[in-house]
Amino acid sequence: MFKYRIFGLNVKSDIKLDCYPAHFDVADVEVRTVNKLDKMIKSDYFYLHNDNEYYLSISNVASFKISNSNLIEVLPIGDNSHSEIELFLLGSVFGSLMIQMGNFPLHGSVVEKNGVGIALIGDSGAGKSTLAGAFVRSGWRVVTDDVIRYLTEANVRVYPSYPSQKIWGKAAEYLSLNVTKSDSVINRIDKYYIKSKDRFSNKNVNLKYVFELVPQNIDKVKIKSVRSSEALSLMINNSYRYKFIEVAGKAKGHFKCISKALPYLKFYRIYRPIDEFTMDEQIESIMKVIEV
Amino acid sequence: MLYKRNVNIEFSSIGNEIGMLNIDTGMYYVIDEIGKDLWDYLVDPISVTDLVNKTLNDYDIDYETCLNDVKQFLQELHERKLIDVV
Repeated sequence: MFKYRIFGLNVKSDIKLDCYPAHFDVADVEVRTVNKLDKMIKSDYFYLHNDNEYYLSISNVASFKISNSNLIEVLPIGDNSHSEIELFLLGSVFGSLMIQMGNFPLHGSVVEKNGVGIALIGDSGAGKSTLAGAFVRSGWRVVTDDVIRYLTEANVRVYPSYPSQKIWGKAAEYLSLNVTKSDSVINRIDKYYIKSKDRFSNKNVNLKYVFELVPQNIDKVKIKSVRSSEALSLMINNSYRYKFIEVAGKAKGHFKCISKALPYLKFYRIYRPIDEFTMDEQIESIMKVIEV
Repeated sequence: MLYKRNVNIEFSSIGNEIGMLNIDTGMYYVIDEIGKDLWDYLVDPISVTDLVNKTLNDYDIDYETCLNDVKQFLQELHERKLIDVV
């Protein structure tokens, strides 16, 4: 049995994962490999049996069952590679587990410096991971890079996920990171794992700022603050699988979770030129509006 | 005719504004500071006249404008099923 701390949860797993090792007696979540699941579902399909039982199947990878907010069963399919199971497990499956728990995650990246976190959100291809990677060059570290689990009490606390990032080939080149075929996330796709430990932080951070990245047909990077009323829809639309949250009948809890966090956060929108690396300009405009 | 908040609306203060979720329709709304005052008054059934009088107390505006604004606001809330007529 392996023990890890993932997204602030104590996870016991019979699958070896590239995550932060941890010591604990009581696990919050168990990951268990099984020979069969009590229900077979269609490939590439989410199935919500009820509040406590979600199913997810990825063709040629694995079927997953998430139950009672504390158990993930993994049924490997065929001759799959272990790294693909890990990819979906740490993404969609943990994301769905959090939705089941009522901790609705955001989709994006968080980087930290001196315990202060900033979140980078936006559509697929907006440049979240690339910008997070560029922040590392300025002495920041990556806390999470896909699923953002946060809880709001006296502040908004973001929990570290695991020490790896997925970056496009061109972005890796731009950031002077050496990648080879063996670092490919999935064969034939030009996306690579960046795993050097010193780029990542495994400390909880106080999230203070949220930046939405918007590629636009413009020449120069622009930054604008976002009103709190607009921030509500920004947070809803950038929630991890938010359509799924609605289908799961959790819109009310989701709304509460977000409105609780909003007063602690400052929101900005960054407009950046399409088809051009402007990471230094983006970081420069971010540094002008934040205090770390 | 009295107006009152729809009980199936989740709402929460966001700075000086109020964010709302209509659970039945899944739609989100935000109302501004003046709307926020009216929303506070709509906690119990209240008439247009009472709403107008309270608003006239809070803001330096004339009766005609206030009546029109309150009526329009109530109509918008009602169309979006955020309030009920009781």
